[in-house]
Amino acid sequence: MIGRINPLYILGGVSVLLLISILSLYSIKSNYTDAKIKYKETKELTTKLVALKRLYSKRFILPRKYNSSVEVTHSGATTKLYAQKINLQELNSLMKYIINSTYQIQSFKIEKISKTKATLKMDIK
Amino acid sequence: MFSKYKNNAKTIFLDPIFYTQYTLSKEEKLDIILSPSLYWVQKVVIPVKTTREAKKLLESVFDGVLLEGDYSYDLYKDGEYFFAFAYENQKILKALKDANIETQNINNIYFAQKELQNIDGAFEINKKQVIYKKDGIIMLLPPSLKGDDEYEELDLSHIQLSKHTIKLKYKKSYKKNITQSDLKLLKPIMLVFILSMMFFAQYYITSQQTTEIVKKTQNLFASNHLKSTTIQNKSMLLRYTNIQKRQDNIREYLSTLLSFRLTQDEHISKIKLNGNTLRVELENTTPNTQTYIQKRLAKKHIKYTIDTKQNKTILEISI
Repeated sequence: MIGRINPLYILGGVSVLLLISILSLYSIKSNYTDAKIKYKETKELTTKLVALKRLYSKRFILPRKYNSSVEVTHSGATTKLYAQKINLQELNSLMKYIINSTYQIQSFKIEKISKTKATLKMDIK
Repeated sequence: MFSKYKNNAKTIFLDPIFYTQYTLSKEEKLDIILSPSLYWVQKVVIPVKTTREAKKLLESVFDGVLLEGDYSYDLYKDGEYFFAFAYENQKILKALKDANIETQNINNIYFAQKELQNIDGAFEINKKQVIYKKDGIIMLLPPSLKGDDEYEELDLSHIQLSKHTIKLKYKKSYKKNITQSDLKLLKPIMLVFILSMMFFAQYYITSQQTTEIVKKTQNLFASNHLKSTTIQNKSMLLRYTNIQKRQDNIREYLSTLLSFRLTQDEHISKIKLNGNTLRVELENTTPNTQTYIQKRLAKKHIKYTIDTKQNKTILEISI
């Protein structure tokens, strides 16, 4: 007849509530830690990946001074360099330029044909 | 069912001033007839057909009649008249408390107006009060007016109770009903409840932070124009790392080869990179130079194969 709830039931109820809150908090804390670790990993991954992509996705540009001695052709993503008779000093300078840049050297062949001249074939991606 | 309860419950008259203090066990039940002092009654004609419709007009029936208070209303129909009631829960609850009647001891609560309407004449309801009916309304004779006349005592045990009962609202009197044992439990209940709320608040904050960090993670991919999953991006990173390793090796090995100290006649005649092999041909090399080259390569921890044919040296280095 009278709608009073036994206080022990209320205590039981709030205890269950406390248990649920603790378990929920434990679970969400674990999720948060995982999310933080994943974020850190992803940040490291993206930083590295973006830097590497930037380094190795550069399109090859031949400095003007080599235009007369080096022929440049493009085949898809690959740039082909060809010099039938290139002066050794000029070749040395060109190789320094390529090596000190971050172009992707796929293959090359340098062959000395005389004391001062050489041939060059190179594929750069 | 009703008769069963009735048989078990004792009928009492409850007055807020002249009351008996009961000592009841948990199992004992009482049917309580409320004294006219605990309610207001009006015998009225309301131009509606049903009790339900009349109930909607109850407040207006007592408009300007009642003292200030928080009233509940009730009514029943008797012939062409409606008997409208206004009562205060708090007052009734106080009267129950004063009489030491716990809520668990209450079977039903009735209005004296309904239950005693068949009395004929005046009766002594307790030692100090007389109850009587005038113009169909049950009234109490105040003690001061009772005088010395002696009245027959009203025997409540033989009263046939009606089905018209009232339900009390306990919400506002809850605090007053709290017992000492309840109070002892109040602190732990509050403590546990507050702790739960704190944990839930912390849960909510952490949940928001988690959502935020997940969004930030997703944004990292989007803002850097990367693939949508970590696996795809890891695979891409591996590809670029391999590219970097290969390119670094090519540059390091070329740098080492070009830094060989050769004599006037010795020279590199051919360098070829094909796949993962760097092949170098040197002309006019002396055994001393060949030894020097091998020492340099070993010092740099470069894996190689060397082939010497007369004065020609062929080096093959794996990238």
